[in-house]
Amino acid sequence: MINFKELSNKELAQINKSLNYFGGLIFDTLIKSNIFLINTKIKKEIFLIPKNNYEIFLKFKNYRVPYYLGIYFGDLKNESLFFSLNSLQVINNLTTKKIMVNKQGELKFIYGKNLQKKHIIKIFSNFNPLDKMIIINNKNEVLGLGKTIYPINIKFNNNIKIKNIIDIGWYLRKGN
Amino acid sequence: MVARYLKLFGLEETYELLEANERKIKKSIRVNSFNIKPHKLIKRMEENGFEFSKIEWDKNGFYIDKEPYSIGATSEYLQGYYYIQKAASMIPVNILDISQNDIVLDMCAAPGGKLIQAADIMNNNGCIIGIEYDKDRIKSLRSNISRCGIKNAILFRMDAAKFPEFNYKVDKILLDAPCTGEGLIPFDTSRKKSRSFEDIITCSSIQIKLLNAAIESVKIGGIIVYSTCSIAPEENELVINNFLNKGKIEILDTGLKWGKSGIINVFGNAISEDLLKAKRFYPHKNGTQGFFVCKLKVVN
Repeated sequence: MINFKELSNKELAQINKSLNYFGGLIFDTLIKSNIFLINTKIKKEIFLIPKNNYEIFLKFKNYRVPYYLGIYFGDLKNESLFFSLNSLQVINNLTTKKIMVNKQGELKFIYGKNLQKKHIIKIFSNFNPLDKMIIINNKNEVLGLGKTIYPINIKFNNNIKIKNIIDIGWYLRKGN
Repeated sequence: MVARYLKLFGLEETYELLEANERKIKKSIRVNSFNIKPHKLIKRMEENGFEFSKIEWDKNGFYIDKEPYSIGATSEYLQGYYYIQKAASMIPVNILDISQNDIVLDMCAAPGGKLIQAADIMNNNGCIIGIEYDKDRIKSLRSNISRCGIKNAILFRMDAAKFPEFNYKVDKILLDAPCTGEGLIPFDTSRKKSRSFEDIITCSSIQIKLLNAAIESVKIGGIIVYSTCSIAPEENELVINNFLNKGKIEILDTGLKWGKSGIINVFGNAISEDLLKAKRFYPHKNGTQGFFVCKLKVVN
């Protein structure tokens, strides 16, 4: 059984810090109408739940613990947030930490493969080695999360290798 | 099974039903319109070689007429733009009269088609409480609602018959009850022999228990839509008839112009004529799986 509870200030600060990398206002925007909950049964799973649903959750809490609620936002590990596919969709339009790929890159990435320069069609920010970025297709749809091996310049003049951290192909490979 | 069909439908219709059970039924999808406009999705998919035609009773539902590769492996599927759902299975949510801020209980929620459809109609607002007992099926439910970006659901892994213990009343209830799946023979011909009369009786007792729990869990005046993918009256009309005499529920018109009326003469025994308001779907009449649906209002 999963145990859900509200996050401590320390845990909230860790999430704020992780979100801050993608954009300074994301955390505040999210907590205006939602609440973060944590389930610590096996690992520290973070869920984002609309405030009205949180009130309903409280009514059930003493009878039975939910299996799942709101959206799964990621895992808290080593004091930082490991983003879920749902959380990437939530923050996609609030960040410039992303890279757009062509059709070939899209197919490669959703099959769990890494990306190279020939797959990239637009870079929205500069990135340092090991920086993470949301990978999107040419329709601004989230494909997953990547991590760069080399520095990436917005002017596009570097060697590029982006490692696949998580991608939407997961729903087919492991989801069902 | 055939002997039962002969008693229920007569020779000619039984023949038509058995023949239709041997034919393939069109696959279908339902577009999650809170993620993408249906016409946009259809255009994208048609550019990739898919062809679709409209399902009459759901504005976001489409039959797949041409499937060049698996409909469950497209990037649009991974984006959560649609759910692969049987056409008749789209009916219960459509007749539930859901409003955006309702609290809806889906008593047998996995694998999630009806829950996702309800969330779509609610535009991801309100709240859907989804119940599923089976450990593997609830995992699949979680994955499906994550893929489709549903955020207004709370899932419990439990026996839905115990929901009244929460002492919490909801606005609307979907009860797509576990059943023998007799209506699914066109999709799985092994069901012709794998289900016995004892299975019908077992399912029927579970269905009565679940409907009783549903009646206890909805507000007075609240709506329950009961459905199964079985065509056995013991799992459908007789389950509901059991509660009509107690004065707790009344049957409402579904408003559907499709489907046949419910059966009110079950193997020679007359039951409430109100059950004519229930609807039955058949492969030989509607081109769908065998399906039963009935809309109920809790009055007392």
